[in-house]
Amino acid sequence: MRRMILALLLLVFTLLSVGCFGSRETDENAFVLVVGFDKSKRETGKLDVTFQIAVPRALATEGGKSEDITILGTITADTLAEARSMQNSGAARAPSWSHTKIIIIGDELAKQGLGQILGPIMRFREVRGSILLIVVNDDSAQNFMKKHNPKIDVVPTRFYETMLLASNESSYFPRTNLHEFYTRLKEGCAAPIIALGGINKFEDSIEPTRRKTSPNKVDEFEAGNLPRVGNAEEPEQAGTPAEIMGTAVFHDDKMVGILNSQETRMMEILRGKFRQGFYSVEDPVMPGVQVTLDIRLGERPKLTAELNDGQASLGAEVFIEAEITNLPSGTNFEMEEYRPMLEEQLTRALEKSIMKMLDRTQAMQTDVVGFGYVARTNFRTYDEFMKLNWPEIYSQAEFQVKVKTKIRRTGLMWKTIPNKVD
Amino acid sequence: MSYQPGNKGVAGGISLVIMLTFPFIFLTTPAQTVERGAGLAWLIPLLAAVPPISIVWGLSYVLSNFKGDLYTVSKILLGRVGAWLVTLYYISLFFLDAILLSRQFAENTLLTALPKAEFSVIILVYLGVAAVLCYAGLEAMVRANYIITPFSILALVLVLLLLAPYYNIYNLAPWQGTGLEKVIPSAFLVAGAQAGVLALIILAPNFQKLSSIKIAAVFGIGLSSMLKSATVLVFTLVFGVGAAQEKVLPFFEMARLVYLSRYIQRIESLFIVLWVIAGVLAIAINLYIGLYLITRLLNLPTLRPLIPIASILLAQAAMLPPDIATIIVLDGILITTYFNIGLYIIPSILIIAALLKKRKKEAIKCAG
Repeated sequence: MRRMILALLLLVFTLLSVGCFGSRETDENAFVLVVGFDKSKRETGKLDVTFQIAVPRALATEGGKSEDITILGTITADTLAEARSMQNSGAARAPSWSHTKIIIIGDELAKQGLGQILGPIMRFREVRGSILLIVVNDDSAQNFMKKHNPKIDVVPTRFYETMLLASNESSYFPRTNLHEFYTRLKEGCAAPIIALGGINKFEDSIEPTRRKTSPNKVDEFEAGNLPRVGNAEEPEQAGTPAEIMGTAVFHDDKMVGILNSQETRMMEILRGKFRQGFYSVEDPVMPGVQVTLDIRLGERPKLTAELNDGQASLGAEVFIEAEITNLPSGTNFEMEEYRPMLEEQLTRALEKSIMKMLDRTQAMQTDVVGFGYVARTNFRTYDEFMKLNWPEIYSQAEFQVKVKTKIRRTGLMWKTIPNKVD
Repeated sequence: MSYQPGNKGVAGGISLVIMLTFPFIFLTTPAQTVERGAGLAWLIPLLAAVPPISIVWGLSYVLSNFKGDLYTVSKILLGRVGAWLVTLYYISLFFLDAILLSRQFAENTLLTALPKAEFSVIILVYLGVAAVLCYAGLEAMVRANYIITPFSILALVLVLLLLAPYYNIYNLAPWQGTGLEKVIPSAFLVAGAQAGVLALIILAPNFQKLSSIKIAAVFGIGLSSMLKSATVLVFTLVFGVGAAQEKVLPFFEMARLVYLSRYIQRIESLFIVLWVIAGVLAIAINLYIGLYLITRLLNLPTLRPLIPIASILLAQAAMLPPDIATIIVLDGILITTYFNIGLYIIPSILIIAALLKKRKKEAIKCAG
């Protein structure tokens, strides 16, 4: 009898433990892939929340277009939670955020502050810290999501995810997720940053954010003004107009500025996140001609922070390894007698670019690199550090940046023979 | 003859100690530890291992001079009333632990896996399974824990390693955390969470020899403390002091943050099962030790008839606190106050009484 009761109890508990309480079948869920947040255009103080929801039926068929496999819907509500509840009234299926990979934030809301949306986001069980973030440059999240029409990765989340994961191919934009944004916000010793997205208008003229200055030989851009050739009326020919380039910089939870492609790259170098990328500098022998190198970090940058009477001295030592990829001048930079000249040129170019980036962030009081983390080592206790107004100290800090460059490889050619001119 | 749970060896002792001290890792404890120690929080679990090990060693000395378990020795040293008070206190300690654990694990199950489930059903399932385990006996629990412990440790270490891309060493700075003058006392204050280690003394006669108890305490507490320290260290490295303090479920948050590629992510569901098993075992062992002490106190031949009624009462008590914040705060308060009585004060009284009694005996012997 006892054994029977025990067996019955075990059976009951086994059945109770399978986790079917409130379970929902897959076809009862509306899987939200992307969520966009904007300051409401319809009523002050409200949010426009745009949901991009998967259409599983279209996903199952081969050759589906990206506009067919998801649907977009915008709801104006006081809070994110309210928008989510309202969404349930406009769709037969219950909204599920378990597959949400990207959160896109409109420019106006980012400037106003993200406090309104961060609270509920961080508490939602379905939202992970690994969710990727994008701020739309000078546009709304709703517009960005509407115009984004990927061709290679037809699922929008796959496009964003692949693109942000590939950020270290060029480091023209950082890979930013909710976890990093939130921890930086809470620690107060590094400014929160988010990758900058934008919609390209495919204009005929090229309007970079900043033109190149010697010894650098590249113009600087930000999302929305990449010199892409295309026809706005026939976007099919040019691919999606959506692009990601640059960084949205925050002071507390408010966006206060933008770093362009080159500044973002310098930030990534100092953060130790830069893996590899092409870099063009002026030929030290033939000014006006460019030399292109494939550069990478030789070692993690050494950051230092000293504090004396409230004045910070911040330092960075960067070691770059380079590979020559383009020598149009024909100068034999592969050889020992010329190589140091090119190394020196690259060093100067990088130091100049890094200093320019640091100057800009100082003006915004935003320590995007995270020198504040290093500055913490100057204090005995956490409470002592928390009394510090780090953004203000950072804005008045003195910098010492040292770049060391070593050309390690020369591509598939080990010397350059001048062209034969008859 | 009172109920006896059967003989144990070193492995059984280690398993018992891990069961009683390890599951805190899956609760809010790591977040509370970061709040206490900031960047130096990882040191707290290591320092907190010292008092329970020392106390077990001290009580082993008592047991080497006065044979028996906690109840018998208390009776010899403190008299019948003293023994009753001591035993009643430890019954309340283990039952309180079972209540706190069931409520927290039930709330965590609601938060992480079954948000639509009825809260009372979850608590009843936890205590129901614990009751079945109690019915199976200590040996079954200890052996079940042998099986689960390597997987729990492996899973824990795996999560900690997979989070390596998120490590930021400067999250540990300032290196003294909230200050050594705060970290060290707070480590000794929270050691009460490991008062369960006294189960070794409660079950002393069932261990083959006294050295088994000492070794079990060192290895059991040592392993559990190292894992706790590693968890707090990685938790701080990943979340930083500010964000870490806010989390209700640090281990769940760490597991869900794992993102190595598009294909290696969302692994937290694999771990929910593990920590539920660890939680159930911890509740069961607390329930068991509480009931065992009742059988010793009342000299009952078996504890099985007490299991259903005790489980129902504990489930009812676990449902009393109005919300999860209250239970987390209450847990913190009880650990630093009530549980510390069982870890520091009562064992110290017993050790002092044993020393005095031994000296008195020797004096009588010399006089004789």
